[in-house]
Amino acid sequence: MNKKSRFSDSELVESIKQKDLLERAVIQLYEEHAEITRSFIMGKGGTEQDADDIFQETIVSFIDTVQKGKFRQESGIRTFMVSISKHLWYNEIRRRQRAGNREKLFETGREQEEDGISGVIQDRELKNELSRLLGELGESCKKILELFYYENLSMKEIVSHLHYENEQVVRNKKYKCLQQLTDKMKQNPLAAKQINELIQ
Amino acid sequence: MQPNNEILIDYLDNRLSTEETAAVEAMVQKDIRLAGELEYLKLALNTVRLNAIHEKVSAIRKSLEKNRVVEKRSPAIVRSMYTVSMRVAAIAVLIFGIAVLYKYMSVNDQSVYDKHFTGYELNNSRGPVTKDAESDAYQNKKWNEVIALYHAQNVNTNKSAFLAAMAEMQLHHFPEAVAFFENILNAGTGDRSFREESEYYVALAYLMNHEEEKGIDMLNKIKSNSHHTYYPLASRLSAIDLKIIALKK
Repeated sequence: MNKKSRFSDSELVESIKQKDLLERAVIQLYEEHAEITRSFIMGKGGTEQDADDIFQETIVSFIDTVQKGKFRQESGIRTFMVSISKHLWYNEIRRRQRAGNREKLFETGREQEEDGISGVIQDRELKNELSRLLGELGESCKKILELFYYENLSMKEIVSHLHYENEQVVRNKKYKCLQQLTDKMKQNPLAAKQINELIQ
Repeated sequence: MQPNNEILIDYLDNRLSTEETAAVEAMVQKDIRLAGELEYLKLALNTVRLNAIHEKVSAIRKSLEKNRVVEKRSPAIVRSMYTVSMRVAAIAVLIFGIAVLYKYMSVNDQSVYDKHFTGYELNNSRGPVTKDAESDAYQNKKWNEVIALYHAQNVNTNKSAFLAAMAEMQLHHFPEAVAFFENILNAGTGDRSFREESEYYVALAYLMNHEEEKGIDMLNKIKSNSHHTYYPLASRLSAIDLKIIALKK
């Protein structure tokens, strides 16, 4: 992507909402913000792989926040993303320490987190667990749920996309897949804890 | 599937009427189990969304990393001494080849003649200058008059024939010039004057008369004799030039 075709911050946010420009937006996020995150994480004892993984999660969280309409543009994309990266990395350090990792990790100098950051970021461990449970449903379930809940396709479009008999078959399949997923979550301690904290 | 869950899913999918939506929200407020079910469903939908985003970003990241690896793998241009030497040698061969080709193309009878022919200066002749009509005409570059005077004379000397030959050379009448020079060289009169001059100039006349073999032989004869008056001039003719002329013959 050349300099001329770069999005401004507000254009970038709009392109993420439109989804068809998502790839260009993600590439720009990598080109403009990956290095600063990398420097921070590697300066705090992380590896190159840690930095890449954390930045990927940062982008996922940022996109999710934007697509849910929760991003407040006044903070600026860079500031927001750096805050997410720091939050994710400090959580990761804590998780590793809990896991008995005696490797020296530096948490000193932790800066004040941006307001609202923790609210938009799901715990990394929980996210991984939930992703694993979704994977256990199988590809057809994952695809139907993704097309309906992320791509916002109608039942009719999904029928034509996945070659099901009719909309009712897809609707039933979707209910069934969603129910299977929630059943799995109920049996997962991390997910159950999260839900219990929410409803108490 | 529990009927309540179906209603909750429809509620999340915005498929319920306003009244139904309000009824579900009221039930969730009262029933903690139902509220828990709703939160599980919300968490499930969030998981689907995040997973979809994660897969898209992951695919883009892999593509970027692949490009990064390809860029890293692209070998830097390292030129070994061997390669540099080979290039220099190749360039030298090419330059040499071009030079040889240029030389071959540029050397011919005419170029050698133009380079080595200089008009004979009568004042430079050895011995006292004898004033006569032919000499005057020659010094005044009246070439046709020189030739006419030669033919008008009853008795011709080597000098007279030489001046006539040189006049023919100046007029680019090479066959005639050759004939005059050969008369001088083949004459058995005992007159030895202007023989060496004639040998040099007849060699050039031969080249221009397309008798290259005779011209080259004559020049080589002069070059082999360092006491020859025209040895210095003949020596300036390179063996390569003569070889090229011989090849082009």
